[in-house]
Amino acid sequence: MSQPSSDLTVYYDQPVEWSAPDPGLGGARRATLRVPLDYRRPGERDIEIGVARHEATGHRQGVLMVGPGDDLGNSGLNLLTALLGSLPGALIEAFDVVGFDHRFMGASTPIFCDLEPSERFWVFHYPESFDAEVRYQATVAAKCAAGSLDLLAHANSRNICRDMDVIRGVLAADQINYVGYSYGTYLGAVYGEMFGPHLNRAVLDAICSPDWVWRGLFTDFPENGERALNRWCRWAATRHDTYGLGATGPDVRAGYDAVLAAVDRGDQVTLMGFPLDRTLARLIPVGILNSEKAYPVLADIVRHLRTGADLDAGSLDFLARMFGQPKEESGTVAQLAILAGDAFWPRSPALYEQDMLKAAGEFPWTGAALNGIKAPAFWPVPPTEPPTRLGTDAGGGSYLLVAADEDMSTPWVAARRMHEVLGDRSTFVTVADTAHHRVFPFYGNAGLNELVAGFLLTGRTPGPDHVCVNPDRMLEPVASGPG
Amino acid sequence: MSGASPARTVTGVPSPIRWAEASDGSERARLPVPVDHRDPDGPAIDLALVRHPAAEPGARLGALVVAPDDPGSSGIAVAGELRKALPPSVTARFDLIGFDHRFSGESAPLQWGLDQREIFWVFHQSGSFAAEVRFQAEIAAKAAGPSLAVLPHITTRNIARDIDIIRRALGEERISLLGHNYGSYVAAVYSQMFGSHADRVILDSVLSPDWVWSGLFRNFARNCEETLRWWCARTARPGGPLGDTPERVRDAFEEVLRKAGAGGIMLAGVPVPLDDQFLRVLAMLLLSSARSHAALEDVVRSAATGAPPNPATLQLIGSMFAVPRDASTAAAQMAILCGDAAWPRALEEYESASEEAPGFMGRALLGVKAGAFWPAQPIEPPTAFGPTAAGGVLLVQAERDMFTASVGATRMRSLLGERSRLLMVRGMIEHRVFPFAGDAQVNEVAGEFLTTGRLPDADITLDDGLDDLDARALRGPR
Repeated sequence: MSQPSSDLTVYYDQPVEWSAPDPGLGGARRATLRVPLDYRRPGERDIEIGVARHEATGHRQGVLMVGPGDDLGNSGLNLLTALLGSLPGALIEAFDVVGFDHRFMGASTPIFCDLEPSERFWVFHYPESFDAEVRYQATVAAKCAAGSLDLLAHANSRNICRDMDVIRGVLAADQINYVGYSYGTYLGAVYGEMFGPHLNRAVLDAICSPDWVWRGLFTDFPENGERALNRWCRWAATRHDTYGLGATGPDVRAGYDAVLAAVDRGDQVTLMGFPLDRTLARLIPVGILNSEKAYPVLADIVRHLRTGADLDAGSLDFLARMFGQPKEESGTVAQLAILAGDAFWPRSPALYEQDMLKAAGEFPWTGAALNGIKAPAFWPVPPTEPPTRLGTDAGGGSYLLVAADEDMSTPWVAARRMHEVLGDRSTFVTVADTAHHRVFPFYGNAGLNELVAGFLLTGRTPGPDHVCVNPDRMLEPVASGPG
Repeated sequence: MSGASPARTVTGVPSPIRWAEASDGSERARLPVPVDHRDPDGPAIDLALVRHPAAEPGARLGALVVAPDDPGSSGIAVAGELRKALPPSVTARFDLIGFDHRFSGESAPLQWGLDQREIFWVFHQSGSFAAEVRFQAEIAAKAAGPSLAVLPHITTRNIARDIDIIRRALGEERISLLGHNYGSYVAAVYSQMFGSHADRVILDSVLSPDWVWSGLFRNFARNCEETLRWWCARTARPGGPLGDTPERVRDAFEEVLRKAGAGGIMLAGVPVPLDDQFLRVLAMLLLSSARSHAALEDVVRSAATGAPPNPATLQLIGSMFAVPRDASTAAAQMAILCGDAAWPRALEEYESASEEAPGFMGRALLGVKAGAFWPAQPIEPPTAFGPTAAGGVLLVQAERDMFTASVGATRMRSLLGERSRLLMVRGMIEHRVFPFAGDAQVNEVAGEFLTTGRLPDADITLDDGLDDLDARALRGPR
């Protein structure tokens, strides 16, 4: 469906009113578009999509759309703001940079389901017992059903891509260029499949495996998490003089595991006076390990937990940023709705219990949390269409795939799967010796940033399987595993 | 959303049915119906039909369509039962038409791989809440696996649309209908959606439209308890084996439950120990008809004293459990009970209801059910009822019916309005009255209505001149 059907022209041709430049959005102008709730029934009920556009400051070359990711509360508008402060100047000059909140969160008909704060951690929620977890996750799903049943069926990636194409139409662009991170990489791939002729160049960074949709995202995590944690242990061992956490990776790991065991036993373990539960004792390190630049923060926190030593200013600042702006509830709900709405999840409790017990043995850090039962197992509506088959002849666009070799949340092998599926339409770039989720431009690897900007501006790609070195690498590469 | 929207039903004329004679003298046929009535040219399934032609073709009045009496149960079997039990004046003049409803019996039955425990205990288990959550979620998971695409189409409204395809395939402008229990709801929904095609309609052991369907369980729990109290009152007698006051009888009943819960009780002649759960279900089934009340007394006596039960009691129990329920029957039942209207999904609702639940079946009946985890949503609201456009609707109800409390019949009667009448038998503990209870007066009134089309002038309460309602109930139907 590369051309909008006539029923949709009213959406593609809708008039749009841009606000004055919003300093809170890096000077971008806001607008609110209407899109159909259900693309099978346009005109029946509309929802709003909040978009923002920062116009090219120099010779305008086209549109660069920024897809929402799952960081920054899923908010594409927040991501746009972050990018406007970080993108290479040449891109700001050449492109209208456009971001949007995807349907049902933030500025786009947000949905709320009265989730308790603890229920917003459903992804990483650590089971007290399997039965208790069934109860917890079923309750999250029940609240979504009670709050937004009529909307849930329309929360899926294909509809978000249809929304993206309406945005393209409203911008009067025949083609868009695209940058997507994490979940946004999947949107970039699906958009190219559904609207191939309208996609010019796309950069996907921190790439989801096409095989994940979506339970695989969870079940792949524990192994990657262990590797990322052990890499940090190895780093902390090189700073034993500073932190005193152990002189070898395994020593550091044993120290962290002792803290975890105390939490799991129910001992009172506090971070800045706040008691840690099993979920937070894992979730906080997970959040930190998404960037190796925060390795010192985790070392400082573990030292604090083990010895009671005061946290340093940098850690306090990091934690304040991590918890100071909790993910907006609609971001949590919409994310859940999409994860449950793109594909049908298994629903048998017995299956999840088996998986949970197995993973808890293999990957003690997060196995039980990620491989156990999840709210989508209780979802009240089935998907309205099958997941997108990627890499077919119908797809279009030219992709640059960027993968940090030590990324925890979207591991390098997941990016390789996307490369295999997209085939000749994609060029693969490995960023070596880097544990960072979303590398371009945030990590500050000048070589990579130049390469990506060049691709977006000219279409120039490096040779196959290009490797960008990390001049600021924090750790000598060794075989994975502690020590 | 009440009534039919003709534009949404099959508009083409179905080909005439080709009947084939079966070994039992009945005629069988298959008739295709669309899975999704909004898409009449889409995927179809075959319904299995049976016809017992009018015994006196010259006196034939038309077709009497029999609705299946439980979701999932065979309408073909019910038609066979009725063929034998209906007054000859009815079987002489009507072709009896039965069908296995969509996705049950011989009509594209559902195969979910339910095991025997799931089939037997799907509604009646009273274990821990957490265990029940898992048990029920597992059943919903099994439903989703093979049947996700068809679940939204397994509804009473679609069964009613199927009946209208049957009607047109029969070449009838109007049909008469007879439905017991759930069949009363099917017949009522048909006559609401296709009133101009419904002639004489009998609803027997009537479900309230307010119960669709989580409410069914709430009402049923109360009614079980009330029937038990009644049984206690009537079982108490001087020198009686369980005591001379209702309280003593109840104590004896509770004591047997307690022993069963503590480790099971052996009943002489029953090969396995009976646990608390099983005993409750057994008591429920025996309470449902006055004809089996003596057997319940015998079970409690035997369990309390260790003395063997009467052979007749053992035979009755054996007959109740001898034939295991078919897996596809249980599946179709679940599909409709969970598919007609969405169930609450908040677990705490079920938890508090089952904890506060009234009576000896409350915990089991009001606990969480698979509907709380159902993987699909209804595609339309349940039928709203108003004054019927059918030729006439006669509601037949035993006052102390345990499975379908008589408030269902009075409620439906008030909704259906002027062209309906209620025939209530006071004091009777019976489920499925016409003609199965063998009550001559009931059979006469209902038979008269079917053969003449004339409703009684007013609602009728039969009490046979007995002052003491208990005496009548004790005796059961004549």
